[in-house]
Amino acid sequence: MFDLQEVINDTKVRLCLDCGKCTAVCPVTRYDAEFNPRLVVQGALSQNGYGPVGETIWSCISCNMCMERCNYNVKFTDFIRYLRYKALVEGAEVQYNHGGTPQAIMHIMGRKDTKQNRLSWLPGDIKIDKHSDTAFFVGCAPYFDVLFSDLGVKTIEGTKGALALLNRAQIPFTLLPNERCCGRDLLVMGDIEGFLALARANLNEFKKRGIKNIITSCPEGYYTLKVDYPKFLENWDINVRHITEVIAPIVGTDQLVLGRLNQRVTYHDSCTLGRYSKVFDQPRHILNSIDGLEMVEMKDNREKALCCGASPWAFCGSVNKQIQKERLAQAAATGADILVTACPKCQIHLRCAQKDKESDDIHQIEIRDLSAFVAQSLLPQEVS
Amino acid sequence: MNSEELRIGVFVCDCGLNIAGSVDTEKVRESAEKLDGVVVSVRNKYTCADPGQEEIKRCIREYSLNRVVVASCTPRMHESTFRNCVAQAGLNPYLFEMASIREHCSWVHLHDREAATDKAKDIVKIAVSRARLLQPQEETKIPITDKALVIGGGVAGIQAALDLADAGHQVYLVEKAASVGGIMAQLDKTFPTMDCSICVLGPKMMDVGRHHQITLMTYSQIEAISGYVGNFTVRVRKKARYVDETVCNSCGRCAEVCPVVVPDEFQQGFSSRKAAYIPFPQAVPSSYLIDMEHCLGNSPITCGKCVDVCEKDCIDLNMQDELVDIDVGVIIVATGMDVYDPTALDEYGYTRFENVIATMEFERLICGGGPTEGKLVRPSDYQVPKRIGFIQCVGSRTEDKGYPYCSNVCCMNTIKDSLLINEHYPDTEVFVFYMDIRAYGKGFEDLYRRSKEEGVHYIRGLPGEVIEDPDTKNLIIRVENTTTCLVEEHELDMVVLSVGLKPSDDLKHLTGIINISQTADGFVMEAHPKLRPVDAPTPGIFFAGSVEAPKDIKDSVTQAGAAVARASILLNSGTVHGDAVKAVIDPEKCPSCGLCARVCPFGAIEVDVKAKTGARVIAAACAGCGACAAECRFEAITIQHFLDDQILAQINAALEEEPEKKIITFLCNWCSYAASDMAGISRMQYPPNNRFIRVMCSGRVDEHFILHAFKLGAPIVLLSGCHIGDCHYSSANHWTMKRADRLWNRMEKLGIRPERLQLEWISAAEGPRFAKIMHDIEDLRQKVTQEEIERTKEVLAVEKLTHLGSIEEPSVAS
Amino acid sequence: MYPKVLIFSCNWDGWSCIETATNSGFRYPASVKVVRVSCLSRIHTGLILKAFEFGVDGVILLGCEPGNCHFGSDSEYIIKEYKKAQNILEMLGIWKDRLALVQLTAFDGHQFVTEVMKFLDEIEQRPASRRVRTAVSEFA
Repeated sequence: MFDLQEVINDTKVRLCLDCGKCTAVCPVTRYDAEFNPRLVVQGALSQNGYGPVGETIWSCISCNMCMERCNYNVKFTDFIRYLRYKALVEGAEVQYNHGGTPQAIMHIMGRKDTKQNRLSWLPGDIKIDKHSDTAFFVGCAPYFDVLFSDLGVKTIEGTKGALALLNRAQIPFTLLPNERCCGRDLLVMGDIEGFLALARANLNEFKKRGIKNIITSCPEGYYTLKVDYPKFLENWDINVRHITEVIAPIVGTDQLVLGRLNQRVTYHDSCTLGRYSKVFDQPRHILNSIDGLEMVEMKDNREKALCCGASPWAFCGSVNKQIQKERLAQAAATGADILVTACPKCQIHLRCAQKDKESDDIHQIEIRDLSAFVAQSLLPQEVS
Repeated sequence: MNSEELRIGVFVCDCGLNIAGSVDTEKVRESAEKLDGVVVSVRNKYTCADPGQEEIKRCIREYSLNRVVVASCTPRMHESTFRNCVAQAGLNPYLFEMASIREHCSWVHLHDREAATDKAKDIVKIAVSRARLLQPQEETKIPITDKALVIGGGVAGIQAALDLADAGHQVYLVEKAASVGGIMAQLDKTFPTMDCSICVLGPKMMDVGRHHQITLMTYSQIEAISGYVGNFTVRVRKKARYVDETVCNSCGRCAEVCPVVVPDEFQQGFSSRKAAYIPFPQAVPSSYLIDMEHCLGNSPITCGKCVDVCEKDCIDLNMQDELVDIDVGVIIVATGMDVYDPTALDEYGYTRFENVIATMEFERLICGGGPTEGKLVRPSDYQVPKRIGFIQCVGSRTEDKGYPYCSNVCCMNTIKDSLLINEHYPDTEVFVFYMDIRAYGKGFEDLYRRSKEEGVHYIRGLPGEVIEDPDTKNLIIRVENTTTCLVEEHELDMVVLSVGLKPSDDLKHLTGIINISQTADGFVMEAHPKLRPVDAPTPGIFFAGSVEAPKDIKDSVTQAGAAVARASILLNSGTVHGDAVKAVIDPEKCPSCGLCARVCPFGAIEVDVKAKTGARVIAAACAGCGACAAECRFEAITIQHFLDDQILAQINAALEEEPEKKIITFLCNWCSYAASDMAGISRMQYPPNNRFIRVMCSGRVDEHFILHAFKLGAPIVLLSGCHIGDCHYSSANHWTMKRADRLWNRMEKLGIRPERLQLEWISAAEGPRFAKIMHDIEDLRQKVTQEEIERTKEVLAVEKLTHLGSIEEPSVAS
Repeated sequence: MYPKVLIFSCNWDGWSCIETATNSGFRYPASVKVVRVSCLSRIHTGLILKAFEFGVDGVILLGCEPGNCHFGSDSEYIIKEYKKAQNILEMLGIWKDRLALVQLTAFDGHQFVTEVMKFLDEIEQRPASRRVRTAVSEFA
């Protein structure tokens, strides 16, 4: 499916200057000396792209910190995705986490004839416009909440918060009862077939309902629909926006008045919304528009934000946990009571690290979803 | 038109068997005799040899010839030979025309004698048709003012000024800072010799200040430049120093009493100076000046302390800028380069961490004349650092933040610095973090070796970021040592960012005033990167030093010498010969629309669009490309020796018989014609249907030439020029491209298949490709039906071919 | 053609029922396959869903009755996984009772076969994919 030469050209790996800046800033390398992004590229390129690569290709968490520093913006994460795809084709074994449940769910979801029942969480007071050509893409939140119920995570609160904000701002949208997972986790693992099944099923759903615009609160869904879908699908022409891009311009105007929250929070930039999509200002603008809210930045923020150590539900282990510890420590150092993030996977992974209540070097800061948090500040509306 | 009777002589050359072997030259000679105006037609074995040339001269006298056509090899070989020959016989050399029946005929049609002979006859007919319309031309002689302007007083500008002055020419050296010296004056030592920089530069600076042939204008900027090679008029603004530099004796009393303290730029902000100051002790001119931006005010009520103590009475707080007009013959641009500011590379902490400094700051710290008198101390606590790290390639070799090119000197500069540190502080450990060490020059590798022998640590890997320890202000660097593939952490007392070099910010200002352009990396563009490295494309302007690209002192000085040598050619000869191919504007037809001036790649046309006085060609600057003539909507411009009528006559002659079999090809003199010659020399064979028309530049080819050819029944027209970016006339072939686009649109509207006009960019080296194109285009021609041709003739018979008065204006490329 | 069913059976009470059934000559269709584990607590949602991903029509979790675990373990683990898996299956549009938890006393071969046949009967009656119910049906 992938032509090696095309991948090499597209990712510009031949331009690698061999400077090692990527390895120096990689959070995985910090805790696993065997992982070396530069060596992955150089090793793979030796023998014209067929050089030895080894097990370490599975260690990358796709945070893109390497690309942030690279002089030539070599697309490392795309290249490693190709190496993973090749390894899978050649029969490599994947270490799934959580029993492979997420992947099994995604594969079943990817079937054309799957007809889901995924909207039972929908509160009765959310207004939906059946005829709107704008859809709110929910993503995997309903599934996450069942799967990770023992973490106490309720990522669907984020969705509900986003919908409440859209309702308040009187922005019409519809919900798709059979939307699929965006497929990012399979794509990142190199399971391109699995990803394509989901992507095609999604495209079918959107086209069937004449959807022209998508708003979503999940950063991974946002990036995948906006950037990866056009690369892999032929007829993709849907405009994709993140909830913060929709809300930020209108917050503080008559269209959307936020209330008051007397809290001290810190904002965690998720990699896909931050470094990948460069959406840094909008979430901050929204938080700063809430009266009484004090927003403190962590040591590494914006382009330099430390990844939450998220995995594509595979090869997740002690290295990820170390990264989560580091990020939680940075959050604690700000003195904030709450860590706010837009990404459900960040929430899940950080909370997973926090499951360990015994260690005194894992900080038990409260973690909230951005949309849920902001929606909390909405004053009750008078019924007209 | 000539009123005299035309008496044309045709000389057909056998060229041994080169031509006669495949062309029946006797038949060609015979057919030439029958052409209108031809009074004698001669055949020679070797026309270029002495006997052949003698024969031409004899015929000119005997037959009172007033036009000569030689049908032999390519004009690119012998045009000047024969021009000289006819000139010796008293005939104006521009009344000579050459027909190539060797490279364009006998050598490329070796196996079809009949077709080759027919084509040769045609070629001669075409040449004669042009010859009829040739006019005598005088080559312009432009006098050159024997004075030179050097812009920029760094080491390159200083060297250029001295060389020119020593050679006996008058020089104006204009420098924007208050003293000459540039970056070299700020360096401590130079590589690879480890000379003290200001010590070697100082005497040169003094020479420049003293030389009786050099007029030094410091604290001055160029306001405007007009004119052309040999005759530039320059307006210089001498900014007010508020001190008379000819009187000031640098006693320094004014600085002592001045109450204003500001950071000293020369010391990179590490120490301070007063508002009344001298840039540095060795400044030339050795005079103080007042920094009026920070001075408390030039009224005696506000301060005036300096005026009170000046024993020479040379402070005048009411001084004004002075505008000086000078006339020069040549200009050498030596405005140097700037240093990259690494603040944007936030990960290295420059300006956030006190102990992270950049190259020039290091130079001042370690220099004996610096703010610490040469004691290398770190900014946070003035302690001597025990561990110093240099990070290379900061702002270079990157598409991200900085510039994509390699800045040339930073590797050697760091090696030099490492040895300086080792010399003064043998206990200090030095680390160099690099991607590649570029030690290419004479003595460079030696210095690198010395540095390694002294124990400097070279670690191949660039740090991802620099972190500061808030207590000690030490810096922690995480770097992958790519040789061992292990990530290392180093704690350092001080970090020096070896920053790259970038084009001077002033260059934007300069390119607006003078006709020089920048290449993609922002440095100035030379006429040819290999063969004319110090010439600007505009005649009379030269480059020296790092204005052209980052370079070290040796290369700057070398280049200065080269620029002086090139400039001297002009200055010494006293006159410049322009060839006669120049644009000429008919003032009666010109409505001063300004299009020609915008189109000219050399800025050789002046026009006042508001005053409507008519456009005027500056003959000395005109290169004769013809883009203006082709673009002019009012038929007001033509090119001497390449008149519209001459070109149209050639088209008429070519298509007189059996037009449907002929392909009209316009070849630009520099690339495409050379390619056709190359194909000929290589004996590449191709079909004989092409008839070539030579123009100096593809930009000369007017739309109506092409439409005229179609009107006369040409099946195909091929327009060929240099590759974009390689045009001999800089950007003139951009207009060719735009014109072709317009013409294709027009052809489509007229119902003429656009494929019948072909556009090819062929470089001089592409002989084989030229031959292939000849084959391809003949295939195309065979697909054009007679019906199509007739229909086209009908349509064009009633169509207005010229664009007289048409409103549509092309968008002008910047 | 009977539906394809996968039985996860614990090694002790569960397996004893299967053995007894076989030895007693009770029959059940060959499309029902068994995977033996030492205790049902070994089974998690991922394994159950994997079976559905591979295309089975039903999964039975066969184990001991509460209090009888050979390892002294509680059935709280498997019940949790069972509920979780059912939740997810429902969301995926797969009828949740295609996953059954059968807790039997040891050596009860007869009951085992009865449960299996009842299960096969029930799932055979369901259409292959289910129309989405609930308040959201107006979008369908």
